[in-house]
Amino acid sequence: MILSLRKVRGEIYLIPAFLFILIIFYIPLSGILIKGIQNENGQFSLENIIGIISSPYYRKTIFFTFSQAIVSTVFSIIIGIPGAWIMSHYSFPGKKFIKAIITIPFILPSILVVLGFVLFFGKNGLLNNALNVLGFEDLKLLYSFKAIIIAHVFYNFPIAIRIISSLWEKIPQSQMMAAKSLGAGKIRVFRTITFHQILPSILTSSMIIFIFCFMSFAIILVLGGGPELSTVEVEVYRLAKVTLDLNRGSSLALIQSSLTLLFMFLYSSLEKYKSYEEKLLTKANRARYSLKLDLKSFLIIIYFIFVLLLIVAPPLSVVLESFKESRSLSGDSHFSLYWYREIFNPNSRGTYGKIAFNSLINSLFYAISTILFTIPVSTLVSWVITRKKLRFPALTELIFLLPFGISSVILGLSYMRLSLMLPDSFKGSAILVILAHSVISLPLVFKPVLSIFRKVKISLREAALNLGASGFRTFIDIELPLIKSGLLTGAIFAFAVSIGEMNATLMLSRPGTTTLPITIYRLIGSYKFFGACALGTILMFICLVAFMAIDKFDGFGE
Amino acid sequence: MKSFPGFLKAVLILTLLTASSLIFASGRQQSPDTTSKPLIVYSYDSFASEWGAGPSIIAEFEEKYGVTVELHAPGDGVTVLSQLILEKDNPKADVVIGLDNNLLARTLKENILEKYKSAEIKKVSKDLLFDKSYHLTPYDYGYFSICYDKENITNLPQSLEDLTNAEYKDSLVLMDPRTSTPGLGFLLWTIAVYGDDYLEYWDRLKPSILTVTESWSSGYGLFLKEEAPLVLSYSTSPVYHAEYEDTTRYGAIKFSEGNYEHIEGMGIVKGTGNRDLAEKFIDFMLADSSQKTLALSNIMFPSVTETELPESFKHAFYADNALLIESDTIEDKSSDWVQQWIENYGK
Repeated sequence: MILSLRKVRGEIYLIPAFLFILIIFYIPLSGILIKGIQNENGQFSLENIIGIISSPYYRKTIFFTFSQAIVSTVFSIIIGIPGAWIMSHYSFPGKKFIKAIITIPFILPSILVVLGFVLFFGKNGLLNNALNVLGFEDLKLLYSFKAIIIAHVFYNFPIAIRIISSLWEKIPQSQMMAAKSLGAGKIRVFRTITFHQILPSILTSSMIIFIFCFMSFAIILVLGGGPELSTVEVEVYRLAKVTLDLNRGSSLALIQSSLTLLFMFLYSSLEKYKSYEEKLLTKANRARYSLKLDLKSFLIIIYFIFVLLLIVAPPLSVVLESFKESRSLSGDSHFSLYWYREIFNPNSRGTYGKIAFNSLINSLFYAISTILFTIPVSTLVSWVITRKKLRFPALTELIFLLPFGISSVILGLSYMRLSLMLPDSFKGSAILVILAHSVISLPLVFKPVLSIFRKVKISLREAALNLGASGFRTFIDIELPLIKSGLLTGAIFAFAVSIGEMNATLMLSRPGTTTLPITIYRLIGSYKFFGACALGTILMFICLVAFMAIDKFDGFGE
Repeated sequence: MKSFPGFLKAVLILTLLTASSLIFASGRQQSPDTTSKPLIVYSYDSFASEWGAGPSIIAEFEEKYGVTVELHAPGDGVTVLSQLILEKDNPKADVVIGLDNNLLARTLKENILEKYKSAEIKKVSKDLLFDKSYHLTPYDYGYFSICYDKENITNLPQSLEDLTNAEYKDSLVLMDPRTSTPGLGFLLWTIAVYGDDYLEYWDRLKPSILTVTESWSSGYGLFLKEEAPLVLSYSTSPVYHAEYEDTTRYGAIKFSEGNYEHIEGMGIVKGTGNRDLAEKFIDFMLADSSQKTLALSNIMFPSVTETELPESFKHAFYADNALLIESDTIEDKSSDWVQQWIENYGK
């Protein structure tokens, strides 16, 4: 009757993790999706779905969601390809710096992107002031289709650079050389050979950028806003939070989730190209050109100036504006540390300072709690997948990665509905926000943890056990140091996702549970830009520190 | 115990940590500060802005009664109402400020307020008492109006119809009736003037609209940043710029069809655990000093019409023809109107 636990099937160990994800993700989500195909009395009915599809407004919204995502993707790729080419073909002084700069968009919460854009591209923003000085007309960019596209491109073209260049630098030049020696021109070589070689990476990055833009929320909410520039995400939010039509909101959420899951499926089927990339093994031994004083280098420098402007200027505007104060709505501003004093000096705190400080504390608390939820689950699941026999390892992995395919607004909506059924004290409570953040960050935490477990050799552990070390000792002494970097990377992802999360939080938050991004959004809404910028600068600083830490543990830049 | 994988122990420890953090979380939530429970006030965002009336009235109130007040602004007026309805079963707020005459029907129907007839209400002009059931108490009023920026426009529109002229292409910032009180007010204004043909008016108006924003604050902010020369605001808006910026650059236009009236009310949230203090706050909003602050900081006509108005109010106007749609009609039709408007706008 002595049942050695080590012989027990892996599934047993997974029970707590399965229960966890069932309760915090699958049950709330299915509540919403089922609600989407019910009428007001809870009977099966497609009336809300049909109502949405037959409504010209929602049809236009769905169409707009697609079109803005497609246009954003195309421009992100077009701007990304030259960058990928340079990064994979040249070595030059400052390359590391450029590499670091293009990770900035990864670490900026979307609400900060919005804030930076309003400040930089606005009619009185830095760009137009500079243009005026040079004698040009104002550019009217904000609150238009163009504004949304620019913000999305800013956010996403670094993804294109990263994915495409990582494939490009591995492609051997032999074919290209052969074509050249046979007399093919440069354009022809690119069209017939190089383009096909890098096509898998273009497709993969396009798909992922498309998905991000399709689910984009804060950027659309602030830069688009009006009914003519609205997306499915924003409409789900409005139906749920403003119009209070949960039934219709659920139906729209069902439509949205079916689409995003379909896209995720397409994306994962592109992953098979990955094997092609792996076949190329390590970096091909290709010559790296250094820059010379010629036209090509000149163009490269122009490209990077453009990239730097696009990436650095908006966040920099946020930091600069945070040191300003104005006496009245449209009056002149002057240098001041007023906002920082308000936030950090308890004695001089007014309404702004109190709310800002509370949201800072809340954000930090939620972020740390999110780590405490996601790391144990990710570690347990990774351990079982890599060390135990499972009948369906791939499916198990998918179960914990699937939340990535559901938009956080819809997750917020399902939590909102769930909280209606919970006792009063749960409504609008911190626990719901923390659990929502945990679901959203789980796939991002799980990936690095799983991959570190895959790298660590089982034999080491077995050896230690054979030498008589106890299971616990083996874990602490042998495994933990080896997997530490993966765990830390995961933890920082959890922290960063939580601290920047706005969408689900906006659906759930009540006065006691506001976070930094929510407060910044509210401040932008009431046009208190300077105050928003001070909080934005603090948020940016926190994210920067977090990602520098990832870079240290994980070589994020690679 | 040797067969018990050490790894599981580690997981167990982490789980315990998590559990303790949860307990900490719920502790933080419920820590009842029995000594002085703060009064929680919800309002629209411009009231809470540091240029708004909120901060100074609240500071005086806090000093007078030795209490703390937390002011929260989830968005524009309609958003505030939605938030209250969402929290109906478990209200967080004690007092709400900024539900106007157009939201009265919905407010009463949702049953989210407690009745309160302030002793100060006798000072309020009778015409302004838009809620005969005393759930909402008027604290100020004004008229929706199109405001302009003299430096960016010369030929002013004189009517709703003029706004559709080609010369005003992309010149007007409006607000969304789904989220904001001025947005809803403007929609009702067009209905009061055009009746059942209002959607055709909107079709003609559409080319003139630069954008439709979520809240008055963001729309007016766009206007001040010179993104557009015309904006939906109030007949009193120029007062602000005359008073604080000493400029007559901004003006409000009296329209030939009349301007839609807007009376702002406040009330005590149903289920408040702080009724005494909430009553005091309502009374305080009607006190002379607050009414003066409202005139000068919320930039509206005070509901205590005796209040002495500063010089700068000569830049504001009272509508000769104040338009209003009956509250009952609004209750019956407003959600349809908003729905039709959005469907039509999305065409």
